[in-house]
Amino acid sequence: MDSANTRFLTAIGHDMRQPLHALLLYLNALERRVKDDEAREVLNKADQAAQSLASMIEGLIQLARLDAGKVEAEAERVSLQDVFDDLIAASPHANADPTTLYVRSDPVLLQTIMQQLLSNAAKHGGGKAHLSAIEENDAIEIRVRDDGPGIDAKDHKRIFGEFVRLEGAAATGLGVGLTIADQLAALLNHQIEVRSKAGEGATFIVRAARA
Amino acid sequence: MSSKRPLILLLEDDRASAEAMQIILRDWGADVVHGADVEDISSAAGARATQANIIITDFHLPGADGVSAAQQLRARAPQAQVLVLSGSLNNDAKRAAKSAGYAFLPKPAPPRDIIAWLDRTHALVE
Repeated sequence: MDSANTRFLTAIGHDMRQPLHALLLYLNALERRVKDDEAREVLNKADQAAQSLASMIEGLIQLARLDAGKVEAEAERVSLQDVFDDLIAASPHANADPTTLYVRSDPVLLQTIMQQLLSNAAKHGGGKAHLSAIEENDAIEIRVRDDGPGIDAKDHKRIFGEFVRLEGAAATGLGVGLTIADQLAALLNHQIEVRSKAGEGATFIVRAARA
Repeated sequence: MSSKRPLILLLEDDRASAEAMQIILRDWGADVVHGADVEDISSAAGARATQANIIITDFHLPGADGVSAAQQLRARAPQAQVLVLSGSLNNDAKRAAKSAGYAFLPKPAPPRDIIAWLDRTHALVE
């Protein structure tokens, strides 16, 4: 993203989001009051469209802030069980193995990385996602496995690029979620990669220092 | 829920968001007093400010952050449970809320998540 776009998105981010947040609340308030099933269905679709728009705007603003160097990391000892608990609470399509491992990371930014990976699994990975963590030499691997169509080896690096959507992928989102995860991982000195073969699901791995 | 409606203090400086949120909170079963900042809400609530069961606050408010504002309101209503909402991408809001022991939801929080938090919290403070 060039600097003009970055300045534009950073400047208008707040002004664009406020009315959109209000719109989401109004739609939801109305949906809760309407008794007619057909009308509720229409409102539900309007709500989903507004949520989709909000999600795209959040992604663009987040990317712009990363590009502008406005995201700061504060590393501390982070319990992966706490991270998994928060993720599962917000992501009904995900489950996790229990873990006693800790990593050196920023809890909020790590959570954002994992949310992006879970969101990617929900959109492109067959809907379900499984979280786990293992020790690998001196590092911890945090894994997100899905049972989707898998990713061809030639695309393993490309999918982390800006605005990339693979051919045949569900046409939702802008293709910035994995870019955000990758850039946040770099900011935290974590490494992120995908292991996958076409037709066999995918496992996204975030490698962080043990703590 | 008991027959007595819980009192929620809502701190939100965006007029449209505040209006929509009040509809949702009143439909849930609460009495709501709204203000754009601590002074505004204290004046609107008057003596009832001491009876607040719940404080819901945006993090970015004119003059002070939502966590500091909630701390000022809790000085008069220490029983109140606090939920901080923020669209900040800088994570400062979540950190501040966690360190004060308050609940946090990112904006735009789906109203079902806010209501789920209210159901859990109100069952505890009832």
